[in-house]
Amino acid sequence: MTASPTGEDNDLEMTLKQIEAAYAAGDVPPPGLDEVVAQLAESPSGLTSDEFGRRRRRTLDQLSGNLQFGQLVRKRREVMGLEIDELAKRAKVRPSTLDELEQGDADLHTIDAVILGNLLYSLGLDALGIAERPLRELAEKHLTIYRAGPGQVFGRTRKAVRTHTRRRDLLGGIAEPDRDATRRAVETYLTEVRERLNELGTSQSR
Amino acid sequence: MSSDSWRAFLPMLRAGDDLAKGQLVEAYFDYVYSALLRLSRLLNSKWYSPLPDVEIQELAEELAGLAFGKAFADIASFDESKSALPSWIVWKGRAALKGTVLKEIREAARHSRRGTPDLTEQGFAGEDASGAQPDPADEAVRRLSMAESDSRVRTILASMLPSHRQALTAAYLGAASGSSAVDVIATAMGTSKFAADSLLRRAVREFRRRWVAK
Repeated sequence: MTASPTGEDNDLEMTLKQIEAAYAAGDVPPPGLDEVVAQLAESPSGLTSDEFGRRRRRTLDQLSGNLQFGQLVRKRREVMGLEIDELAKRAKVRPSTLDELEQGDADLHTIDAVILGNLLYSLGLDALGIAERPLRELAEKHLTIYRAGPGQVFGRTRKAVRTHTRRRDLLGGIAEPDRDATRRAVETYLTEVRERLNELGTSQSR
Repeated sequence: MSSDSWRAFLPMLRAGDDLAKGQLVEAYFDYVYSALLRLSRLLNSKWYSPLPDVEIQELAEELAGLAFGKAFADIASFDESKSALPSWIVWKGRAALKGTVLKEIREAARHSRRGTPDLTEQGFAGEDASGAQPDPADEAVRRLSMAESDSRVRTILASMLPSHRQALTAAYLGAASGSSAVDVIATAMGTSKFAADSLLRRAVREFRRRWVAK
């Protein structure tokens, strides 16, 4: 069907138009789709696994949109049909910590990365995936490191104010955030969470 | 063939769990992206490759993102007895091929070469380029007749020889006619272009024969 248009070419065109129309609107795909897609997917792409990885991460970031880390945790817990106490027990965290995390009120300064890894693993995760960007944003806010100021800063503890907010407010205008140090702290935290997930996944598969 | 691990995510996806969406992307991105990249490359090559491969790779990534997004939005209508979830996601992506990859190929073809066939006239199989506004009564009759026709197409495809059915599905997925359909079949069925061409001819003949049969 590669030469000039013939009756067979017209038949092909008409057949494909009919198939296109038949499957354009519905949600049921044509028969034999799995076999065809598998062959297409398994044909050599010429891309390295790093290239796939970069594209996969960008797609995950794009899909994570405006998601909040706490909301992700709460939704998964609810879908799994677990109460806060049950999940807290499984993950070996305090129920109040889990509750605060879900509400977006927890301070990552007070939640060890290993504990967070335990929690995520208890929720059925073996990698951060779509939760990475929201967790990174939270960590950037909570783990901010400030450059050394002129001296000690004193401030009173205020009720219902989180420690990271208090630090930020106290140091505002006195000490600048150290972006490089903060980035390193965030990366270290995320790496520890990843390593814990990996460790738990590996020990489970043994 | 993709593994069946997607089945474990299905109840959570249906419950709107975002972490499950991430897990599915982690598990199947490479599979979905590879299939859509292949389709995009075939489409580009059909139009004499006006876009460099690196751009096709970018567009296929965008397409994969759209495919996952659309699949998550439509997950309630997914029927696991009809296809595997990753294939269905590729199918969703294929529906967006025209608005992303083909659009860019058209632009590039217009700017790069004179004498390239006008894609707005040929387009995809099933695309109406006339732009004429039909009479509402005629349109209603046409829609009714099309619904019957669509049902017949599905019945015929379901009853065809498996290899013929697969060839037509592959040609349909490639969303193009002529040599590109042969390319898609050759890739999708692991055959030579010669064998794919022959298979496609036989498949079309069988389809037409059943179509005209009472």
